Amino acid sequence: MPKMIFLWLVIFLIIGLIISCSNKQNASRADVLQKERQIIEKVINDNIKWALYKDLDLLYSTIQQDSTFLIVNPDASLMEGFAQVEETAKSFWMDPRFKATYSAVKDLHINFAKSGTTAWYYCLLDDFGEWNGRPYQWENARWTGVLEKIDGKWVIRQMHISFPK
Amino acid sequence: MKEGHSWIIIIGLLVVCSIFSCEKEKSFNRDLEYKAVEQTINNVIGWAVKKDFDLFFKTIADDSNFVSVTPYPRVKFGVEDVENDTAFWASPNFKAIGHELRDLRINFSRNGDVAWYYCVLDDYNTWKGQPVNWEKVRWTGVLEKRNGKWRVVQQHYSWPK
Repeated sequence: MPKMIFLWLVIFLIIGLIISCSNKQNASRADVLQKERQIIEKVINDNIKWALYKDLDLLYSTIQQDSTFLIVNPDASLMEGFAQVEETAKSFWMDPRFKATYSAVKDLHINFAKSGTTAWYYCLLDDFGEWNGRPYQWENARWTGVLEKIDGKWVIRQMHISFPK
Repeated sequence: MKEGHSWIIIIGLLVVCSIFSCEKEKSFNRDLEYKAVEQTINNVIGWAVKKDFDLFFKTIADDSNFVSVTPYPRVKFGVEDVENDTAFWASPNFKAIGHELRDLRINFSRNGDVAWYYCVLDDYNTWKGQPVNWEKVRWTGVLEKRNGKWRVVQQHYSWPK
């Protein structure tokens, strides 16, 4: 009989530990995701604000540097693969005639996969600048994308920027 | 309590632990998952031909975090926003004829739990007999595997400006 009581005590103890661990995991997951959210928010902002300072290293640090990286632009063009980003940087963004003047990320929604290592976002983007003195304005562009945490760093793997019809 | 019973409980606990452990170690079959994701993407549009709402709502995330950016100014937040549109699709005036996906590209996260895609969509429909097609729409999205099924958690449709 005492053996039986002891066994039930052990079982209750194990169940209690499992529930306690689960609650702690949920709390710590929320804390972790909150921190990750702040990091992702910065990555998304850096991905557009690098242009204000022409900080190419900052831009490159925010995106997946391989052939699968994809940008769907508001015009009919796609930017396919990191190599094309590099080409555009050399031929357009780093040209002294291109000047970014203002950008803002608004109404940002970030969601995480259950695993916590992939995230996706939606926001509205304002991005102003000029080419050869002629201003351009992207106002309230819809910007969505996917990020993945690779080797401890969040990088954008695909993005889509558009204007409504 | 017999000593044998203790062993049964211990073995039972070990079996439960190993099941959870195996669940995480299931191997990722890219070809199979690719087909499953492709089918899910097709279902997001294709349900309309037979007005199979059940299929539709099984292919998108059934939560408030679902996001759908339409080609128009409207952005739908949460499955509730989508549910509010069912009257339009359910109307006998609306008839879906078919769709085609072109240039479909699907990528997977490293641990295989998330996929994202890009394609060009042609979607053929009529309203009161008049064509209301979506042609050459750029369509991107994200899917997450939840309880063994792929669901679209975010999507974005646009026409180039």
